[in-house]
Amino acid sequence: MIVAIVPAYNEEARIGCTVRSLFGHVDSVVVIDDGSGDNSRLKAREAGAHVLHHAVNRGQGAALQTGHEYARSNGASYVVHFDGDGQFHAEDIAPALAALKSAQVQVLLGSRYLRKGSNVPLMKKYLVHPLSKILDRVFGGLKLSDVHNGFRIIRVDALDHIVITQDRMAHASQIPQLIRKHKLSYIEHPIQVTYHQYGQSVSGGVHIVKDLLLGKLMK
Amino acid sequence: MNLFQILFSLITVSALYLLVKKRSTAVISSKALVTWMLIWIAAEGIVLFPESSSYVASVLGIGRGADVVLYIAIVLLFLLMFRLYIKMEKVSREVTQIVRKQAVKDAHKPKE
Repeated sequence: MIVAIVPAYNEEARIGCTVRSLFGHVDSVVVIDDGSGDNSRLKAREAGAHVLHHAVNRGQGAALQTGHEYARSNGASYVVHFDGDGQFHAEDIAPALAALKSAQVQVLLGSRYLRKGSNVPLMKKYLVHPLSKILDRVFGGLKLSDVHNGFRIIRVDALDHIVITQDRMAHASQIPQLIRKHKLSYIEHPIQVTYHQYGQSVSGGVHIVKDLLLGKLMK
Repeated sequence: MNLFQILFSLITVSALYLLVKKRSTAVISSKALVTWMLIWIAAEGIVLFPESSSYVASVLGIGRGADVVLYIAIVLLFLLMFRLYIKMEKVSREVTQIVRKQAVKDAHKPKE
């Protein structure tokens, strides 16, 4: 069973659309409403998703981990990380899954840069992403073309090792760290990303560095 | 004794009293009790005998006694803040675990 995990925080405008687009590409859609103040929960349920509700906002990393635990106890064989704001394309799932299976690896990480279709903002391409790449080398991650891409497919046995403790955005660095630490097999796969809004700001980056440093100290 | 020394001594005495009281109700550990008592007694010592800080300063090679007090205070505050930061992060992770447990539990409940 393939389960899509969709964290949602105040995504009422796009979540319904995202959930509906996923049906036909996965067997089950799990939306984690991360303490939204709007109608995200209702919209997701109307669209046919299983909805888990965080009583208070805990961050995207925390929501993904909640999704992992739910998916495992419901017999998932693969989980797909999929953003709730409609920037990914559900049609990318089937070819990615095929690639994962034929390569016989445990984890597939989406990349915006391995294909031409994605229209990445220049600021992101030439400033934010190179910086985050350096950061991830420093913190012991993998050599990836697109470190902070939220599209991932994980085979369920790898979830024993991929336990996200970075509640906020630093989980995107923690996952490659865990892959390396536990010697999990992985591939990168081209996917399309459509930008609706800018995403990570510079102050967001500062928070990620802070979280990663704290994470190192808390082991 | 000048006015400042009298006031500071009063504060020290009440701080020591509160510490012992907190220990008796097990709010703080005995290690914390000893640490905080030593800090207060040291501070009181410096206030009663200001020239003692000049002695420490000359041993450490720092110009003035008042500077030693300032440096030590900054270092202590920094350490304390750092510990609070780590503690907060731990509490935050515990909150996440509780929220997660509740979310998964509610999801398994039959729909009403």
